[in-house]
Order: sequence, then structure tokens, then C-alpha cells
Amino acid sequence: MSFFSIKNLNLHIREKKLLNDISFDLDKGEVLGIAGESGSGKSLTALSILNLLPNFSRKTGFIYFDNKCISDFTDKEMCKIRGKDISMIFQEPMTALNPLISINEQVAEPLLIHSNHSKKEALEIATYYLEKVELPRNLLNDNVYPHELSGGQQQRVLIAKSLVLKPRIIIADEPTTSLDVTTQKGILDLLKNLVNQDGISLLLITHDLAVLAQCAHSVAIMKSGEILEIGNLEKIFKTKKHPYTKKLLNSVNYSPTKKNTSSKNILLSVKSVSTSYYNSQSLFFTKQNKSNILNDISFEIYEGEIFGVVGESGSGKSTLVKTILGLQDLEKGEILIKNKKIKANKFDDLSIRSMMQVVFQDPYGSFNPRHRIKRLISEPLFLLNTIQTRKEIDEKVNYALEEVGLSPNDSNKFIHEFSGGQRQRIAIARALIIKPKLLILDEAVSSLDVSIKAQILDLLVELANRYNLTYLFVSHDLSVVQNIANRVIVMKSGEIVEQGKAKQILTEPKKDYTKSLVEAIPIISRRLLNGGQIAK
Amino acid sequence: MSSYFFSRLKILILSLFFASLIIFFMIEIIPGDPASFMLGINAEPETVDALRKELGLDISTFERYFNWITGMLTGDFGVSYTYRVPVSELVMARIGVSIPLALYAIFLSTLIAIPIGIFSASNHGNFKDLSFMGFTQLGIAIPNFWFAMVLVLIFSIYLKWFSAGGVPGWDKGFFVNLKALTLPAFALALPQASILARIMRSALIETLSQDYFRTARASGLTFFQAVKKHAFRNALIPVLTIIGLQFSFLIAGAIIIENVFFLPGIGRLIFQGIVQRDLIVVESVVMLLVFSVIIVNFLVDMAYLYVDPRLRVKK
Repeated sequence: MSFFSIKNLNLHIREKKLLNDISFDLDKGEVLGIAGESGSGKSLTALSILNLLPNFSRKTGFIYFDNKCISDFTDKEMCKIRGKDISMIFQEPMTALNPLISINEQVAEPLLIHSNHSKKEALEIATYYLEKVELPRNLLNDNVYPHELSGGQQQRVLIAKSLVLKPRIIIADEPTTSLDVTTQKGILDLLKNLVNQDGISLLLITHDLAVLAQCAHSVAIMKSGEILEIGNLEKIFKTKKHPYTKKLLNSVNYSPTKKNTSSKNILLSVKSVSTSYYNSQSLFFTKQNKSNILNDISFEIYEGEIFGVVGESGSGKSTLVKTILGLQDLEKGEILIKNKKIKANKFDDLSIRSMMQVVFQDPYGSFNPRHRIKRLISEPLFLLNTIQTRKEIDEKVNYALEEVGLSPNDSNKFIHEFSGGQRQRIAIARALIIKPKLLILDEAVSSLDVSIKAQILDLLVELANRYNLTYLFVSHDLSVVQNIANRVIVMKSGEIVEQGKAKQILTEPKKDYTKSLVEAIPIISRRLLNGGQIAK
Repeated sequence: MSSYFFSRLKILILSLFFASLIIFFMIEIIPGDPASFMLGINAEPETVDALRKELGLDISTFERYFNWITGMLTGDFGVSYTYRVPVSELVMARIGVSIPLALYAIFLSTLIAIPIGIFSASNHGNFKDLSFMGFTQLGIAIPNFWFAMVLVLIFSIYLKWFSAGGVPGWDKGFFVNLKALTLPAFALALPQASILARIMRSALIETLSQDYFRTARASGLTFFQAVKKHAFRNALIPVLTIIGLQFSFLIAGAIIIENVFFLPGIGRLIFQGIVQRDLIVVESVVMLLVFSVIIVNFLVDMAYLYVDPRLRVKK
């Protein structure tokens, strides 16, 4: 028998069955990937192992670790295992650290709980592990707090915390999902090395099959609380026995192709735009620390094209979107749409406003939960400056809903009745109802599951082809942009590093920064997929 | 540290300035001339004028504002129209009751509220939580003067543990006074503790669902260790805010309780000042209260600095 195994694990929360007969084994030094979309029960499986389930949950089945059945351990007994033999890394490094306690103290915490080290010794060991996870030297001092670190650095701190007691198993729940591609690569390499060096077993939970392909030995595909397929990664990826596995694999790095329909007419021109941010705004003193966010950005978007903007977090993409939408002041330069100047925070010319609409990243936060869909979608109509009858509005709303693949019956529902993917469709309907010239998609597919993401991308391409729409497609994910965009700019710390045809830049990047971005995209090699559809 | 400190200090000074302006001119536009009030409705206009001159009411409004402010800065609060003693003396006598009472009440309410809040949050949603929250609902609903009278009835009249009112004065020793202030402090603390317990509970429930709490649990801390080490301090920020607001309220807002227990406090002083048109007393005491409110809030802001490292900006 393996040193860790789960047998027939079932889980109910408030009478709802969320895990159904989960069984798997984990060997010493093995990396087992659990893949599935949101709601498939991946995280609940992980939390069941440590018995950290939410209130009102009921668990049956057996979990064996080291020849002991830990599934009926009391909380006190489990506390001796958590963090010592089995440790866990969570998805959101930004919120997984206590903001009020310095990082080396947090890393040292498991040592103080489980061993007899003095505080001084524990802090020394913590510093050793922080060095081991390659945290920059200047962050190894005392009194460094989580808010002074980037997301990737915070995840390194959490990895160090999970390592200090040399655990037998690490459970990593989406450890890289909220990180940039280059950071993701660093974290995955780190985890892989640690597993190889110390013989730790790793349970890697992710929705991204490409991430698994980089480091897992075996894989379990989960859907609606069940394991559909489990086994050797290479075998499962090659045979694609289960249709769901096939569907997931096909949507990895999916980017539909759009034919180039761009004309020579300039729709939007951004002329040497700069903005900066003042650190301390003060009532009396004018001594201000200035930091540039955008530095001399210029580009043009032609009518009918899809224009991609890529870059890591902090590169200034969101600020660029805000300036184009006229939500933020420019310091230098100007932005013209159809030769009309966009003035920040001036709403006198509705015709400028009506030429552009935006779809944001978070499909959960971008709707007022108290309004019905009809009201949400018809909101931009006031920009048209014409009085419309209720019947006209209803017709427009229904048409817009059908356009994005929803039914007119949905117009009287509230937003909480829809899933993430459907919400993003509603956001697109809301943006398109006034037929804008320019649609800005600010990370519009980034928080969606892979198969939903593929559907939304297809929808966007279809709409663009049908109505000859112009998109400004902002994304941190290069693999999405590679086919859908006609031209692309790569941004880094507020400057354009490289620009040109999307295909060209993403296959033969010239600048080192673009190269590092392209290399960091996790891909499933063709060998694994048996000549599947994904390139490279 | 420094930039946060100075920005708060600037806010403090500006608030004091605007508060003084508002207080002074609000009282200026209230009808009722102190001089004619003191002399009665049948007084001769000449006598009233003479008294106005004596009280310093004949010079221009701005001059009087300037004199008032500069006076206060040097510790001179003026002379009460009715008592004919310096306002500072009046205030000093009263403050010896009001501030200890407020501190005592805050101490009691924190002592009661924090354990209840922690207990309720740890039992979130079950019977224990609901019954405790029911009690706090009651604590808010019961008028505190009624509760005060019930306390007097039980502890002074039947059990005879405490006297029913008054304070012996601080020269008689610390504990006799503390004992005398116990019942009023309890009466004041009950609604405050109920509010504070609810705030503590909801703040803690929120931190219990935070990712870092889960991280703490996953590294082997038991539930209560994790509450103590990670959740409590994070939940303390909204609680501190409320404690600051409550302290300011207790200094001036204890007027009804002061009346029930015959305590010569600040609340009663203002009340008498308004009734007798002793405007200089009202002005100065209100300004003093504003000052204490702003100082307490400043201290609360500084306490955030201690609790939350994100506010300590490094240079």
C-alpha cells in the first residue's frame, strides 16, 4: 500500500453532495496533479485531507497516511499532522499571509508549534528557507511585512513556510493561478526542484492542464465531485479516453483565429501618452514623489482589427485602458477617437462616450446585484441621446441577449442566477447594445475556466467577424492573444517593448523581455498530445 | 511612521480650528442675551448695557472670538456669568468625575464585550451565538437610565452593597470613589458593551473566513491558538474605532446617568449652562469636549499605527 491513500471519500455540505467516491494513492516523491474546472471539488478534496472543511460538512470514507487512518482523527490529533507531515500552499498568496505579522515570523511559526526550537533558532531556520526559495536578499531582514512583497514573492514565502518542517506531502492548491507567466514558471521550477531534492510528494491542484504537463507524473481529472480518469499523465493525455478530458485538453491555450479585416482608417490614436502617480498627496506641502505609470506610449488602432496589449501585472495595461476610457488624466500627449479628443472626466460629449464600451475581468463584481438584466443591459442606451420607447428598448435588449447566446427570457432575471461565463456574455451584451466603434476587453477572459474561456473567445471572434468590430484586447496571457489579435504591443513598466503582427511577435520575438514571456507560457508538447491540435 | 503621524496631526489641528469657529458662531446666533437674562425682564436698558460691558459682550464678534481662542490657548477659559468663578475651575471640579467615569465604563464594556464577541464568533450560527446576540440586542434596547434605576433598586436598596448616588471626592481615597462609580459605570457600559460585542463578533467572523486564518490552521495551530495569534489582532481595527467613538460619547453623553446618580459631571455642567444662558461656560466646555473627542480619535489613529504595519511607511 502507498504511504498515503484515499478510499471512497464522500463529502456533504448542508445535505448537498459535493464529493463522490474519491479514491487515489500517492507514492513517495510522486507528483499527482488534480485537474478540473471550478466547482469540480478539487479544493474540497485537499481540505478534506487536512480536515479543514467549512462548517456543516459531513465526510465519510477513509484517508490513510503512514499506516494510520487519519480520517477519524480528532482536531487536536490533526493539528500535529498539519504543517508538520502534510503542509499546504494556497491559491491567493496576496491574502494567505497575515498582513500584521512579519514574514520571517510567519515562516518560523510551524517550527514554534511543532518543535522545541527557541524563537531565535526558529527565525534562523526561517531565514535559511527564505533564502532557499530564492527570495531577494533585501527582504530577508526582520520586520519585512507581506504588503512589501509582490504576489510571486509572497507565494515563495508561503512555500518556505510549508517546507520548514520537511513535510512528507505538500498540497499545492492552484499555487500559480493568480501569478504572471514568468513568475509562474519560477514557482513551478522551484516546486519541481524541491520535490526532486527532498523526496517530498506533491499533490498539485490546478485548472491548467498545461501547468500539470510541466511537472506532474500522474493526473486525476475531476468533474462535479467525481474523478473521471486517473493514471499516468502521458497515457491519459495521449489516449484522451474520456470525452471531458479531450474537451479540456482541446481548450488549453485555445485561441481562435480571426481573419484580418482591418482597414486603413484609423479609429483610435494614442499619441505619446504619459501619466504618473503621486505617492504622497498632502494638504500643505507640495513635495510629492512621482512615479511614472505610462511613459510615452504611442500606437494606432485601425477599424476592424483586434489589437492586443500584453504585459505582466504592473506593466501599466489597466492604466492605459483607464486613460483611453477617459477615466484618468493624462500628463502628456493626447488620445483621439475618430479624430475627436478624449478628455478625462469630462462627460459633455456623449458621442465620444458612445463610441467605446468596456468589458472587465471580474464577472462577479461588475454588475449591480439589485438590478434586473434588462436594466443592466439597457444602461448604456442613454449615451445615444435619443428618447426611446419601452418597446424599442425591450427589442434591443432581447436582440443583444440573443446575439451573445442567451435567451430573451433572461431579461427579467437577476445577475446571481447566472454562472461566470454567462455573466461575461451579459457584460458583452451590455457593451454591444449601443454598437460602439471600439470594444475594450480588459482581461475579459482571464478569470474564466478553460472551456468557458474558449466559448467566450469563439463568441468574440464570431461577433467581430459579423459586425466588423474593433477590439482592444488586454491580457496577461500571451497564449490567448496569439491567434485572436492581428497586431499586438508588449508592455513593460509603462513602456512599449515591442510591437507588430501578433503571430510574428509571439513566434519570433526580438526583444529579450518578449522572449522570456513567450518561453514562460506553459504548453503541452505535441509528443504528449500525440499530435494534437496545439502548436509547438 | 512620520508621514502618517503628521497627516493625522494636521487633521487634528484643522478639526480643532473649524470646530472652534462653528461652536462660537452657533452660540452667537442663538437668541437670548446673557446680560438681560441675568437681570430679569424688568431691568433698565442702561443696567443691561453696563453688565454687557462688564461681561465683555460690547466689543465686536471677531474680537471676542480672537480673545476666546487666545485665552483658551493660555489656559484662561473666561469667567462664568452666573457662578462668577473662572470656567477652568468649574471644569476641573467636574472633570474629576466625568473622565474616571468614562474610563471605568469603557474598561467594563471592553472587558464584557471582547470575550462575548470572541465566543459568539467562534460559535458562529449555532445556539450559543444566537442567544448571546439576543442578549446584546436587549442591552441595546434597554434605556440606560431605567437599567440604572434597576441597579440602584437591587444593589443599593435591597442588597445595600453600594450607595445610591454621589461621589465622596478623590481626597477620600481611590477605592471609595471607584466603588461609588461602579453602578453608574455599569449602567453606562451595558449598551456600549452590547454594541462593541456585536462589532467584535462581526469583525472576527470576517477574519475567520480570511485566507490567512486558513493558512494558520493548515500550519497546525488549533482553532483558539489561530484566533489568538492571527484573527484577533486583525479584527481589532474596527473595534478600536468604536471604542474611540464611545469614549467621546461617554464623557459628554453621561448626562442622564449623572442625574440618576447625582454625580457632578461635565454633562450636568453643560445642561445648567444652557438653561442659565451661561454662554461662556457652554462655549468653553463644548470646545473642551470637542478637543477630547479629537484627541481620542488621534490616539486611536496612532493605535492603528501600532496594530497595522501597512500604515508604517518606510522611507
